[in-house]
Amino acid sequence: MNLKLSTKLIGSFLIVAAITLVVGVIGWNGSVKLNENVDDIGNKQFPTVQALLTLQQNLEAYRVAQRTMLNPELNDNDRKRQIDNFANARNGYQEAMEKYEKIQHSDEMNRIWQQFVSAFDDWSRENGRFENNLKKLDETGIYNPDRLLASIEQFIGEHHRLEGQIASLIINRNQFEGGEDHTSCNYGKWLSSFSTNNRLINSAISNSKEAHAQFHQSVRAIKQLVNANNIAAAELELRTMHKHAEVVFGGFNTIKEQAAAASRLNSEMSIIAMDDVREKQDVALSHLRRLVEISNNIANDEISASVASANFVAVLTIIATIIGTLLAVVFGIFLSTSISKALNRIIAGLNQGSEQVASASNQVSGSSQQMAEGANEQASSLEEVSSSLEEMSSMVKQNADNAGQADSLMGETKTRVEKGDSAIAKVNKAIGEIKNSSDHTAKIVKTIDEIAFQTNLLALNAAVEAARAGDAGKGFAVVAEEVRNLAQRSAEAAKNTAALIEESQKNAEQGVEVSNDAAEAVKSISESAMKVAGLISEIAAASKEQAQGIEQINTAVSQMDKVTQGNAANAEESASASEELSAQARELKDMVNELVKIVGGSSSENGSSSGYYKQDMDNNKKNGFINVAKKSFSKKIETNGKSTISPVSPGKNGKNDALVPSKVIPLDDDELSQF
Amino acid sequence: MSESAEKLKNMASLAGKYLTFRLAEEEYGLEILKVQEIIGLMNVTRVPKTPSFIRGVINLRGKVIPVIDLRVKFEFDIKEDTDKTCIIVVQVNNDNNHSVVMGIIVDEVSEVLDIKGNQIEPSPSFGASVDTEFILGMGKTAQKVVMLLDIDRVLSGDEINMVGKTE
Repeated sequence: MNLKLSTKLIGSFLIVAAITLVVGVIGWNGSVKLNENVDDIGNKQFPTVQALLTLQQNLEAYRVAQRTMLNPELNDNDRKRQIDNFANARNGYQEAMEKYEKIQHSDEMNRIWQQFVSAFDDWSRENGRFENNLKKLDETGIYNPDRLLASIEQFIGEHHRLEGQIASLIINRNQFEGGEDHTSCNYGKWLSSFSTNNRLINSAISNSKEAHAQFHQSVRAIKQLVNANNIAAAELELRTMHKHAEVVFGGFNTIKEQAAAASRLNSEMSIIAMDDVREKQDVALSHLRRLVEISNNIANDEISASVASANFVAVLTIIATIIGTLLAVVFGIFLSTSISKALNRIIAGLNQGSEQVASASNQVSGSSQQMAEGANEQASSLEEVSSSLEEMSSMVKQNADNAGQADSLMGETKTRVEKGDSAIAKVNKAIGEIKNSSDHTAKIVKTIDEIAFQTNLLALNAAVEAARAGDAGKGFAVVAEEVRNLAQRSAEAAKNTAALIEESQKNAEQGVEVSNDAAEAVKSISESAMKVAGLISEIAAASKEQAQGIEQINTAVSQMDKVTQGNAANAEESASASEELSAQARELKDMVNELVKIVGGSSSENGSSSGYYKQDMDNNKKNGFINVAKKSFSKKIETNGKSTISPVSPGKNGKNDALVPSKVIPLDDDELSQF
Repeated sequence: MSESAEKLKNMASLAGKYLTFRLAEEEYGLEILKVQEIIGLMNVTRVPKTPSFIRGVINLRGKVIPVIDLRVKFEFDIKEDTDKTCIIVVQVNNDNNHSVVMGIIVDEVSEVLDIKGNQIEPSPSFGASVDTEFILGMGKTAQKVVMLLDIDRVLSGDEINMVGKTE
C-alpha cells in the first residue's frame, strides 16, 4: 500500500471509530426497543393486570361479605363490619374500574370489557336486590328467625303443657312442681335477655308481658286453691288463666309471624346470594379472567419479545465488539508493523548508507594518497622522458640526412627501370606477330584437312557406286581406292603440319607469357622504386615532423608537470572533502540512532555503529597523513616548476605504502569531540 | 554337323564388299549394296514424340529421310559429334519387302572392304536371352574383327514401319 502515513493512521482510526459507532448504535437501538417494551409492560399491561386483579379481589370480597351476611349466627358487630366490607369492596372495584378505563386497550380487550361491564351491571342489580332484602331484614330486626321460631315454639309448648298440668291438677289433683313464677319460666328468662328494634314484636311482647305474669300468677293461685281444696275457686281462676294464656299465645303468634317473615327474607337473600349473584358474578369474573389472561399474554409476549430482542442486541453487541476489537487490533498491528517495518527498512538503509559513505570517504582518502604517490612517480618519469627526448632528437637528424641520399639514388634507378620496360614491350609485340601468323597457317591446314575429308567421302561414294555397278565398275573402284589413298595421305600431311603449327603457336604463347612476366616484373620494380622514393621522402618529412613533435613533447612534459602539481592539490582537496563526508556520515548515523530510539526504543545497534567511526577516528589520530602529503607535494611542485625533476626518494615512498586508506582524515581529539 | 555346314555355306554366301565404319571404337560392316551414299553431318531436324534413337529428319536433295543415332540404338554412351561424324544413307527392307531409305549416324566411315567367305565366322551365341540376330557374322581382317550388320534387322519391323511413316 502506497498510502501516506497520515492517511493510513487517520483511515485506521476512522475505521475503529466507525466500528465503535456501529456498536453504540446497535446497543442504543436495542435499549430503545427494550425501553419501549418495558414501558408498555410497566405503564399499560402491569397496571391493567393490577386493576383487573384488584377488581376481581373486590368482587370476591363483596361476595364473601355477602355470604358472611347470610350467616344467621352473626352478631351485630360482625354485621356492621360486613356492611363496611360491602362499602369498601364497592369503592375498591369502582376505583379499579376507573383505573382500568383510563388505560388504552386493544379492541378485543375493549370488547370483552364491554361484556364484563354488562355482566357487572347485572351483578350489581342482583346486589341491589340483596341489599334491599337486607334492609328489610334490618327492619324486622330478626337475624336468626329459625332460632326465634324454635324458642317461641318451645315457649308455646311449655305454656300449653303448664295448662295441661293445671287442668290435670284441678281434675285429678295431680301435683306438679314449678310454673308459679313468670320470671323463672323459659319465656320469662328469654324476655329478660331479649331485645329488638322490631316494633310489632316489641308491642306484642309488651301487650303479652302482663298477661304472662298474670298467667303464672293464676297458676300459683290455682295451686294454692287446689291445695286448699277450693276447686271452684280454682276453676274460676282457671278461666282467668285461660284468658291470659290467649293473650300470651297471641303475642307468641305475632312473634312467630315476624320470625316467619324474616325467615322468608333470609331464604330469599340466600337464593339471591347463592344463585343469582353468583351466576352473574361468575359471568363477570370469567370476563375478568379472560381480560387478565389476555393482558398477561400480551405482557408475556412483550416480555419474551423484549428478552429476545435484548438477547439479540446482546449477541449483536458482543459480535460487533469482538469484530471491532479484532479489527482494531489487526489494524493496530498492521499499522504499527507496516510503519515500523518501513521505518526499520529506512533506518537499515540509512545505516548502510552512512556506513557506505564512511567507507567511501575512506576510499577517497586512500585514492588521494595514491594520487599523491602517482604524482611523485610521474615527476620522476617525466625527467627520464626529457633525457630520452634529447637522444631522439639527434637520431632523427641523422635519419633525415640518410633519407636525402637514398632519395637521389632512387631517381637513377627509376630511369633505368623505364628503359628495361620499353625493351620488353618491343619483344612482346614481336612474339604477338609470330602467333598471329601461325594462327593463320593453322586455319589453312584445317581447310586442307576438310578438303581431304570430303575427298575421302567422295572416294567412298565412288567405291559404293562402283560396287553397285558390279564387274563394270571394277576399274572405277580401283581409281576410287587410289583417290581415297591420296585423300588419306593429304589428310595425314595436314595433320602433321597442324601439329607442328600448334607447337609453334604454343611456343609463341609461352614467349608472350614470359615477356609479359618480365614486363610485369620490371613494372613492379619501377613501382617499388617509386614507392621506396616516396617512402624515403616521407621518412625525411617524418623526421622533420618528429623533430617538431619532440619540441611539442617537451612543452607537453612541462604541462604535465603543472598537471601533476594540480593533482597534488586536488588530492589534498579530496582528502579534506572525505573528512567532511566522514563527519556528515557520523551526523547521519546520530540521526538514524535517534530515529531508531523513536521507532524501537533503545537500540542495540547503537554501540556497534558508532564503533566503526571510533575506529576511523582512532586511526586518523595516529597519523596526520594529509599534512605530511601536503608538505611533500608542495616541495615537489616548487622543484618541478623548472622542468628539472628531482628524483623522489624511494625511502619516502616505501613509508607511504604502509598507510591504510582510513588513516587519511586528520582529526585530533578536539576536532573529534565536536562531532 | 549339318547345321554348322549349312552355316558355313551361309557364311560363304556372305562374302563380298562391305562399307566399314567406326562406332564407339569398334568396326562394323554394312553390305555395300544396302548403302545408297555417304554424306557429311548436316542439320538434323528433331521430330517430336519419336523414340530417342531417332535423331530426326534431314533434307537429302529435296527428299526428307529419317536419321537414326546408332549409338543410342546400340545403347552406347552418347558422344558429341565430331568433324568425322558421317551419315550413311541406307535402303532398308521392312517385313512387307517395302524398301525404306534412312540415314544412320556413325562416328567415322573407314573404307570399302572386300571380305572373303573364309574370313567370315558366325556370330557367337551368348545364350537364348541375348539377341544377336542383327549380326550377320564376324569378318576377320589382318589385325581386326569387323561385325557385319544385318541393317534390316538392326531396326525391328515396327521400328522400320514407324520410321517409314516419318517419311
